[in-house]
Amino acid sequence: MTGVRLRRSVGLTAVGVLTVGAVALHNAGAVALYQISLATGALLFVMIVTATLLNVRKKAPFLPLGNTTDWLTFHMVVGLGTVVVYAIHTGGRWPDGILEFALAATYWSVIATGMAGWAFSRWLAPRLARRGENVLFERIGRFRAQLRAEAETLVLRAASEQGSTTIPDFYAAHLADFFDRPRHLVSHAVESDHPRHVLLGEVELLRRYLNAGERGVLDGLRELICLKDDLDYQYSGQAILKYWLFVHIPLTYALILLGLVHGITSGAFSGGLL
Amino acid sequence: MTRTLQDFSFDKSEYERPTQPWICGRAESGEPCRIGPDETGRCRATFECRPVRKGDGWECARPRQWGGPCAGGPSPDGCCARPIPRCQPVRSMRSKRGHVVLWTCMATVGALAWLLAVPERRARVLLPGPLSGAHSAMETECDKCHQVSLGDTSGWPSAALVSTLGSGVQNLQCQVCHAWGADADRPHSLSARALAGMVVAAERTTGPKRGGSWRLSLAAAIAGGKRSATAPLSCVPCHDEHRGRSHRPAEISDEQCQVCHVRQFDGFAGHPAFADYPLESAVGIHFDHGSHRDHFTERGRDLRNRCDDCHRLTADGAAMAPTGFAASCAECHAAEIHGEGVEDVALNVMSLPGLDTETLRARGIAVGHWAEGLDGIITTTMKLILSAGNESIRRDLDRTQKMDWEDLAAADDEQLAAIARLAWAVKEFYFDLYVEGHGALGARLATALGRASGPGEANLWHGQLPVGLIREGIDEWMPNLLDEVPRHRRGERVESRGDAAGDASHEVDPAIGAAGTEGAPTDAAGDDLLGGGESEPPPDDDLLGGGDPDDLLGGGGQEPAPPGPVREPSPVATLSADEWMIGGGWFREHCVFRYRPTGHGDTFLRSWLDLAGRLSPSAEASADPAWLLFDYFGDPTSAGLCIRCHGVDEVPGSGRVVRWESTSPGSSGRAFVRFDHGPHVRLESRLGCDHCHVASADPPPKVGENPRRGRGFAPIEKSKCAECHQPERVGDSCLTCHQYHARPGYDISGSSPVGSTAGGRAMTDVSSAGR
Repeated sequence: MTGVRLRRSVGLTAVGVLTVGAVALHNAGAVALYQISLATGALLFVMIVTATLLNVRKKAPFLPLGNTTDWLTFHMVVGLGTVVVYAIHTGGRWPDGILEFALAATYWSVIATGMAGWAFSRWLAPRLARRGENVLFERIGRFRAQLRAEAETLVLRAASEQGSTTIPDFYAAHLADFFDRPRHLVSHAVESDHPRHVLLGEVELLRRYLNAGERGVLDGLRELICLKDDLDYQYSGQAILKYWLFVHIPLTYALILLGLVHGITSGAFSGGLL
Repeated sequence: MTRTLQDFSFDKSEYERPTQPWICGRAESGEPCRIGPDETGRCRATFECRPVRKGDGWECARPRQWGGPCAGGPSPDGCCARPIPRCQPVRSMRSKRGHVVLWTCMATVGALAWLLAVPERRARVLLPGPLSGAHSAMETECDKCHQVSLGDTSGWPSAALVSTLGSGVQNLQCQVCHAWGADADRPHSLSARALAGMVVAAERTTGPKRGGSWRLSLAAAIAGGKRSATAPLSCVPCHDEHRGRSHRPAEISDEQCQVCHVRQFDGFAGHPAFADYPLESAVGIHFDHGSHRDHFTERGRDLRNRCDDCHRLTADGAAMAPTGFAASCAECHAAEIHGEGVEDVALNVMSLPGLDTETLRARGIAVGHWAEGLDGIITTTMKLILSAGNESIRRDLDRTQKMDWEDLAAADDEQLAAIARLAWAVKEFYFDLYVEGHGALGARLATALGRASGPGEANLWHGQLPVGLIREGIDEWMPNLLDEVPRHRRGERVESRGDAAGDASHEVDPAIGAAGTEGAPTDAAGDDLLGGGESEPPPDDDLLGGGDPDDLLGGGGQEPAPPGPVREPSPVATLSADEWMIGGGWFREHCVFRYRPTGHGDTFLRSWLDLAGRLSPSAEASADPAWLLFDYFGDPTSAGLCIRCHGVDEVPGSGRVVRWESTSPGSSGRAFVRFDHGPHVRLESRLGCDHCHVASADPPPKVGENPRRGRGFAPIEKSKCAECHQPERVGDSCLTCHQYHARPGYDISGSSPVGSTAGGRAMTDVSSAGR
């Protein structure tokens, strides 16, 4: 059994055991006339805070706290476990109160973004590995500038050497904007090659009007278009993998704050937790 | 071969630092500087390299990954010739994310602070959901139910941690409205003694037994070791709130019901068999269905399934309540209450007892004028009135209890003094009654009760006693009363006029003085106020006769009219006073003021029974005037026949309580059982009442016997209920037939006496039985 499968199996088993145990204890506790919702609420809060320890681990890589992959598995198992505890805590009801509504909405947003992040990592990573060069996200801008510079050099050379403005005109009309900034991000996100085919189609249409020298330049431009498109593809995928945390993490902290207020008020108005 | 853009060679790959908060502003355009901004986001760009000195000159030191040494090299003074344009650094992605987190947290805290700043807004924001319908009026008044104050948030954190449930403090909030008695915090609102008794009884009868679902077993394992059967419980775990208008906080699951129980079962099928249900139900009337059924059957009237002749479904559909005396009983029994077939149709209420005035005179004791020849005794009503709030009189009554007031020859001085004080007390009472009227009676009884009489209460006690009757009687018995009592109260010695002048004009004929014996009917008619047959009309006073020359109607100066025919005695004159007073009310017979009940629901009798019952502390004080009065008025055979049908409970602290109502609404007489007749009556047309109420051949209850038993029906068997009460039919949850809280004051141990007879279960607080 590979490490990934082992971790996955252990995690799912842990979630299963947690589910069975929590359901059993909740049922028995309610029958035994305990204020079980206070206990499940406290457990839920602790689990949410525990799940955020992944972020601490990522910020302190120098500490001997185990590898990040194990922490990520732990994070996902605990996060999945909170869904079970949440369902038990609320009894499957959608809250009516203002604070509780905000809390529930925030919780489900965190869960949804977490699930989305997990899905992105499962879906996008192999795609990024299959297409184009795996460049560091921080270097994409530099490579984009490099490709633009190469393209502009080619175009200028064609103009000076061939004495024709066909390629420069084509570049200005169809390629300047393409090389200038990330393009077709949505199409890349949905795995669509349509914009790339359109551009390459334009290039092929132009080819019949060019002489041999210009065709050599056009071949160079065609290669740069493919490189730039692959770079945009990488940018699109890696941006998704990074920007979902812009929603997930802030909402998690908001959830903790709301949960803290909810815990204090619930405890105080329910007669005390201890 | 595919071209690669990225080269990770050590001299061609720059080390990326994505965790740094700032990056060069020209990175996005592909021309970042090598140094980058500092930690505070300031651009540190100067030159592409710092030339190094080599001999007498300078050499470019630009790294290879940034292009290596430049062609021009440094200037002669060692300055780099390639300055880096300054940029505006931008935040790294990580730093941007941190800022988003920070702003989100600040926005959350700000929103919470704004929402929770004002108590009114706080109530709306923190309200976890609508209250149930019953509590909905208090939706914004959190303090009504919660210990913590909505206005003061400083105590919330500590209150969130420190439990107030175990201490019962939270329960007090609930009990402001839901008063379940002194043991409201305990399971079933029963006393620790009763709960312990229940556990012992359950273990003895069924043996320690656990069963039911896995939840019950696990719950029992969780709670069993920590919770005592008698330990207080919090209201909250059972009665959750804020679940919406339609939520019913009183609903709990069957398993929650059973978690504490010795014997547990999964449904009604496992429920123990009924024991005498519903024969122990609390009813107020001695009524034997069996004898009535037999009576009407003999007369050809089949009463089977004719319950609605005498019972009607109550408005709430809970009970088949009797339709009342007028509708159900009066046809046959009204005449009995009016006196038909009753040995003595009236009650002796107030009297002038006979007194051995000769002995008193001989021993030098003055009691003023006292009619001679009376042989009646002082009535218990008089004893109660005289002793009201007067311990001295009470002691005198105790001291003279066995004495014959008409023969005091053997009495010692102390007893004679007591007799004298009592005689003066009698006179003073009559004096007050003569002068102050009804108010004198009300004031004395209020003193006995130890409180002011309630609105209209005093009016019931005197029963519309007429002034003429009282004054006429007193004038006849004690003609000098208005003179003697003031003198006595001034401390003067008051001799009887007869003592000094031998005046015997107020002597009462011995033949008529015998009427004062309480409880003994008399038929003497010699002193009949309404004209005894032996008295003849004075011929000269005949207004209509015309014989007198001055007769207004006869005409002056005329000849005397010839004597008329001899008049026969009037048929009316043959009636005794109590016979004459067939409609009921006050009348005087000899030296006794008597009262004949006016019919069912007579307010005078009812008020005196209530009064005497309330003043009857216990059977141990059976010589107490109130106790004796209750026995007299409450004798099942005495006039009015009240206690022939109405049951009596001895309620600790409240004395003897007559159950005037036939049933207590909503009361089944059991602590936890409730039965709703409504849905079951609809089955009547198909099944008939006798499907459940099977006639019994048990002997009827004796008069005075606890009316809760023997009402002519056999106990209802569990199997009758189980015909429909199954999970797949009409349901069999515990709360269908049971209520959790015992009614306040219900003593399930049965150690408290019930009524005056059979030892059933006591409703120790009948006033709240209907709750």
